[in-house]
Amino acid sequence: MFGIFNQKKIAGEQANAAESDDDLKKKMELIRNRAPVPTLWLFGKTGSGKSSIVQRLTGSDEAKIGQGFRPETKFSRRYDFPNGEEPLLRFLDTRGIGEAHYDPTEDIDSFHSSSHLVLVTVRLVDHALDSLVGPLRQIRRDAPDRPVLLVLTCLHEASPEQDLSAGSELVAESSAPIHGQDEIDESLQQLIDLKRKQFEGLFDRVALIDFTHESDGFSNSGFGEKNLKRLILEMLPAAYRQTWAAAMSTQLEGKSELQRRAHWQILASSALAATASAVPIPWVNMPVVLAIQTRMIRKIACIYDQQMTSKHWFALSNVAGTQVAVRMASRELLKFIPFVGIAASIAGAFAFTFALGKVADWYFSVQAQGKTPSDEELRTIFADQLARGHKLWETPSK
Amino acid sequence: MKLLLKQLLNNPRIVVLFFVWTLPCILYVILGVIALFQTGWLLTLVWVLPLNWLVAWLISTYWKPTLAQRSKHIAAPELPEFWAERDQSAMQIVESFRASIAEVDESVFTDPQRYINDVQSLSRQLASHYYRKKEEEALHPVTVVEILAVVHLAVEDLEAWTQQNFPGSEIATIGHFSKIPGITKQVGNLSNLAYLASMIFQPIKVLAYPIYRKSGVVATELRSEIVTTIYQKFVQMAGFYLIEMYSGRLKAGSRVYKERFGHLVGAVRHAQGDRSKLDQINPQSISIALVGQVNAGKSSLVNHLLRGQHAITSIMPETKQVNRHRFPIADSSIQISLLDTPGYSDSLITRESSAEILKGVLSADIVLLVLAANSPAKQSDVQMLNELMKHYREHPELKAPRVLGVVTHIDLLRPVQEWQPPYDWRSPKTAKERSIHDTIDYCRELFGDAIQDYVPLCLLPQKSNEQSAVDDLLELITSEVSQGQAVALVRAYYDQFQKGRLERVVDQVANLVKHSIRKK
Repeated sequence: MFGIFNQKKIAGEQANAAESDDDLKKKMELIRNRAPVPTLWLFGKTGSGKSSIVQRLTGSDEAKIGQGFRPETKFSRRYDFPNGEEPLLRFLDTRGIGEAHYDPTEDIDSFHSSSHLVLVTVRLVDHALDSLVGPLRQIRRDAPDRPVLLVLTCLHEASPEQDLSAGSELVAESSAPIHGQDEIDESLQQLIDLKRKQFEGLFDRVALIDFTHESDGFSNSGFGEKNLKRLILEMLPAAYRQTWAAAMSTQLEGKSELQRRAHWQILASSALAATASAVPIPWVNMPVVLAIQTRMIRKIACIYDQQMTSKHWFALSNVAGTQVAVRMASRELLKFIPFVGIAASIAGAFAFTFALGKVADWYFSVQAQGKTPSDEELRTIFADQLARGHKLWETPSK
Repeated sequence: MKLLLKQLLNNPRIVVLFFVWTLPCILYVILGVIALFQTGWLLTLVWVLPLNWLVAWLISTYWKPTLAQRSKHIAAPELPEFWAERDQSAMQIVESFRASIAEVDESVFTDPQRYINDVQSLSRQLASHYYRKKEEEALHPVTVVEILAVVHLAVEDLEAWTQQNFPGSEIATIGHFSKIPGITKQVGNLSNLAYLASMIFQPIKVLAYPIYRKSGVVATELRSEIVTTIYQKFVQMAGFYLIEMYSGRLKAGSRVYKERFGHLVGAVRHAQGDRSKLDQINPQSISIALVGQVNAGKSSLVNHLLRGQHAITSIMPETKQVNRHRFPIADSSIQISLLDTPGYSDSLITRESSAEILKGVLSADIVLLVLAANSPAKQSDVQMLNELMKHYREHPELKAPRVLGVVTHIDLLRPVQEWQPPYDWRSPKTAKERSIHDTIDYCRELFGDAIQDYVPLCLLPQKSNEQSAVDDLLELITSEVSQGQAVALVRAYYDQFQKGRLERVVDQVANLVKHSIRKK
């Protein structure tokens, strides 16, 4: 009944060229709510490195990191990455526990229901933990099935003489001794064992990291990052692994700030497009996926500080092997829509959006330098990126 | 005149000395008069002296000193170190009461009712300060013994003070107060004598005598000023001991008070603030408690202060109970013990340990709060300080110990890998110095006045070739010793008083039981 009714309604709407923005916004909202955005709840004492983890995982300066002697995160908050409209990852950053004059109860209540994985951050040498263990016990009791990852930070404080980060990353799986490097200081093992005892029954797995500032002079300022990403992937509920894997798959070292921002935007839009095609309401997907792609291209243009003109639209949609229906609709959002690019599968929607985004990224970065790329070049890039997009969205194995 | 002559005959030494002192002056006067006579200027100049007296009289008549100015004659007393804040604010009441006393004349001392009234109204004001009740009810907690003790002590002090300021006077008891007018009379008599003496050499002064008598008012005025000063001093002394009484320290009677506090107060006054004298007068023991979060570095600090391996230190929580270490400070006879306490905020800590920590910190005369620079989570430190301050608010008769902040692990501040002491954090130039400076700024912001001073330290044995920082800390501790001693003294006094009272009660009950058994 509803299906028929809806299809009739849709047919009517499609006939009507001036589809309302409000309606589209509503659809977008629907998609957004269904998008499998991995949500990580960061919980730990002030100065234990919560914001450092956010910064390290996203490469974004949004999360302010303190100097280590003064609490920096003044308010607990939800942090959607790269933005609230097309979220790819979500962090619930709690204000530091143990900070003077702060009672975390209210924040814990508000974050409790909306997260998939809890990251408990603890400085390895910090034994003053009673303010942390109490609330954590409550969190664990409320949702015993939600995984908890114990992240032991600031390893350098435990081994002042040896630069651990010069070696390969350390792994501390289950209750086995830590491994990863040939010579591991005995006190390090003792400290990790003590932490296991202090948090007994309150965590599922352990990650060892040492995220330092470049000026601190350690050989690897992101020590343990790879292992942390892997553990998060393995611990996330299956439905959220795909997004996480896609988000973490690309090396962004050496990329410029603009390239990074464009990259995250492309990933976020692609993931949202994938969600849109996964939503089991057939009429939703087409205009919404188009809207997501249009929006993505606009944003990339904006990142590279380029004016969006019909010339650009034409070049890009041409590349994608599509025809452009130049609809002179009055609504800004639907002004120019490339009319193909709607893939049948979810992976297809992701890959197509990803490839389109990557082409746009390259196109605008070349435009920004004052050159005009040829159609041939654009087509090659599109084909490459389409293959890459398909690969990215493969279900990651455990 | 007769009295004066009698005194002079009783004391020929003064006469001789007076003669020798004045002989040159007399000679000059004679020679001067002769010279003036020979030049013929004598008649023109002879009027200068009476004229000056006249002017002095006029000035003193029309230019009266204000009350506030007069009360400045007596400096505010130096407050003993063991006084709690409540006692110090009480002294302000005494001072304003004293300053409000109008000019008194000699008759005050022959009228005992006057000063008894004054002391009573002062005691009422102080009682309401201490008990915050209506003034009428306030005198209840005070015993007769205490009032007598106050008067006795005040007069004893007044005796020392008058002897210092007016040589030759002897005031030892209230009865001797009547002698005070005598002191002022002596001052007047001396000036009369001087005038008469000058007449011998200058016969013409006889003519000026009526004017001189008139200017005698000046001398009277001076006299009444002396009387007022002495009287105000008495009120101040009485106020001082009233404060001691209301704070409860006089409860055991004036003799015990004298033994326990008298020499301390006296020493502080006598040494005019030089506290090192106290060490010699009152050798005893004080304890310094080291408290802080787990692994903040308390035991390492003990080893640094004692320059050796005395406490077990480790990267793991190691100290499980309060450990006491002897801490000799050079050139001091005081025994100092360091109390090394288990760290708080440990999730595995036992209830007994927590109680131990609190007991340790509440029995300390100086508290060293050990703060890890690299951990901004200081909630539990704030709680600990609040606990401490609450205790001393609930026991206002005790003096709160000073709290010094020792900021450890500064080597782990940015830039982490750099360690090249010494660092001049007070005027920071390098990145490390700025880090240390900002850390201490943050602590000041957090703890405010609760912590008096800070010393940043690195406690790692392999890194800390920085003896100067430990020396800074030692110096700071040494400068706080006399304060700590005052804290210890007051605490010891109250401990003993409480103990004594308990013993008395036990005795009384025992006697009662004995009696009742015998009766049966």
